[in-house]
Amino acid sequence: MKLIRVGLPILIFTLLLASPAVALAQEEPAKYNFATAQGASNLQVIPGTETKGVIYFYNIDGNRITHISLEVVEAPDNWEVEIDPPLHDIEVSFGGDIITVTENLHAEPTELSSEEIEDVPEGMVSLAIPNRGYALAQPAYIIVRVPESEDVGVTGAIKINAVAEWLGQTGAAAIGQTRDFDFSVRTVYEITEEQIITPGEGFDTGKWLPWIILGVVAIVAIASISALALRRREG
Amino acid sequence: MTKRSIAVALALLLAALAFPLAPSPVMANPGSQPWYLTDFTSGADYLMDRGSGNGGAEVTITTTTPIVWVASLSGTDEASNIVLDMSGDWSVTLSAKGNKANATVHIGTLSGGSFTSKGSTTQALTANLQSWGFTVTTTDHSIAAGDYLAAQISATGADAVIDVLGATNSDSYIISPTAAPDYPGTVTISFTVTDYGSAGINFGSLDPNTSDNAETDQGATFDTGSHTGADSSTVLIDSSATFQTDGVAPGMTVVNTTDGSSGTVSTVDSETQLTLASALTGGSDNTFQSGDSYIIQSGAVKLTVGAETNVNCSIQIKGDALAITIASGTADSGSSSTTLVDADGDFVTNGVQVDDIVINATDSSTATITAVAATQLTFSGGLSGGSDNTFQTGDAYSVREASPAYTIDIGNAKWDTDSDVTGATAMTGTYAQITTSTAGSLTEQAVWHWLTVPSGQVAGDYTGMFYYQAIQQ
Repeated sequence: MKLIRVGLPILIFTLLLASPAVALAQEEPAKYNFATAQGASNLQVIPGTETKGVIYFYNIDGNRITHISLEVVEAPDNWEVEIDPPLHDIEVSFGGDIITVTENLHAEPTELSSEEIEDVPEGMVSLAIPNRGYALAQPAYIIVRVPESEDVGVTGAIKINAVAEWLGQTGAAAIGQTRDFDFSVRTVYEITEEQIITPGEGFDTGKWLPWIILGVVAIVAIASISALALRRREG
Repeated sequence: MTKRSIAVALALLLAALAFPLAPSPVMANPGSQPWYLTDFTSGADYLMDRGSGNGGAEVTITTTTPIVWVASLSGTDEASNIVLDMSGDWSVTLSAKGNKANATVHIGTLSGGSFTSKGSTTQALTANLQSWGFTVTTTDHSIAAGDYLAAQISATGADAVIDVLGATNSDSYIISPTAAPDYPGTVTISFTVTDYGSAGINFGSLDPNTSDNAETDQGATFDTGSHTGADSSTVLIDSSATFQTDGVAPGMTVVNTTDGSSGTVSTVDSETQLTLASALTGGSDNTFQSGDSYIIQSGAVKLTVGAETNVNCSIQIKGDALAITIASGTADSGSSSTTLVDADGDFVTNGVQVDDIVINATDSSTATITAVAATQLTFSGGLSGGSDNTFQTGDAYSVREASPAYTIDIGNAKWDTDSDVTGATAMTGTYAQITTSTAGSLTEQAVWHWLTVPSGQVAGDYTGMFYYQAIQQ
């Protein structure tokens, strides 16, 4: 336990215990990076089923581990929204102490790659970073379950708030970052058939192949019968 | 086989080829996306649904009024999230009819209600409904964030009727080029806060606010030494320094402690030389003279939006109040939503009192203390505002004094984008915009902070949290 309270007001207010200048000079400046990629934000779901959105987290410009906690701050009342991985505690060894951190996931500093990363650890993905290359990223899935009783054609707004924090800050004000992610989920009918056709130039031979075969068979049959009949008549 | 039978067979074969009866499905190119024309409308335009779908009636296009179809999903307009280049060969399947009519399919963008064609192909139609397959090549087909992919069909010669039912013929649809990015695009944002002090926002030690309105900036000392070069008001030379290795950066403050002057680093020329943005000011001679001592202070945090960020962003700041932590530790077995047990605690001796605030740092819940014992705190109202509102074994906690004398309101903290406190903005608990960034470009912004301590404030270590964010505009 740490005791800081003083009994009487004094003239000097210590807002923090600054580290020695020499030690600071030898440290690399702390870079707290919070990088995300959000794919499709417009989702569809059939009432009674679930759909899934995804947010990727990576850390190629930082030199500290980014601890990220996610929270559903907006969703339709009767819809269920689950975040995977869920909020959980991890124990972190920091400066010789074991610290409990509550997070959904964390993004460790990783190197940027010019080529797609093939050796991808389980649970991570090789993410294409626009204009820069590829990086290992940690996905978080936003699973939306809609009750069967929900009407078709309803659009539900879902907002996920992400808070990024970093350990080891001793200043008066620690640095944090936040970011919101919006998803729009629309209920739709179950699609029972889908038909995508390769375009042809007015007429597509492949499209009509079964009927062509049927026609050829019929022609051969008719021709054979005609030939047989003609032969009998001539004979 | 006779000549007659052969002729009959050929005639039947030709008839089979000429009058096909029904289609069989095949798949589209992988990596491309289809949009199906519908007869559902959005304002003056029709919708084309991404992925699947069709309409309930035919759409007639007169020779005087082209029709625009705007990208949608499940019947709702779908704007591009980011800048997307959709140039390339679009595959078009058009089920249509129109005696002596020509249908021209344009593919392009819709912005502010105006359609712009990026490529087109004209197809001659017939009186009978038929599916036509052709390509529309678009060039310079860049869709800005917030704008829409769109297609327009115009008719010449006679009215054209577009079949969007797909009942007897194929649906009418367009398929994006295989190499085109996925629409509406992945939003990527990378935001880095560089803290030169490696210790959070560091205000050092402050006097209480009196008539002199005591203030200090985030003045963590970053590097020290003495000037070894010729006299200069803008160039600092220290033959023993390792400025680049130490991470000295533009925006940091150099203080000539010998004469009391200071300036801002403009460039780090080498391991041993810095150039200031302007001449030293505020000192007795405003000159680096041989032997003058200097210190370099971080002065600011640097906010960086990475070049991969593909949307325009607003860079913002907010803060929590700063308060004194009376006690901290981790919860032991026996803790709950209304009690905190810490066998290592010494709450009474340390001065924890009723009405102080206990904070569960693990789940971010808080409660007002109603009873204090040596190793146990009780808060009968229960924890609230957190994810589980319960102290579980191992949860981190802190206790803060509820009295205003132990809390510095966030409005006493200020920020600015230069090192002059004049014109600095008071912080609040809600986000305020610092600056903006442009999609696809690296953006760097230094931010300085100051803190004023209100009079009557109790001495101690005050801590809080400053939040920064880069969000899509």
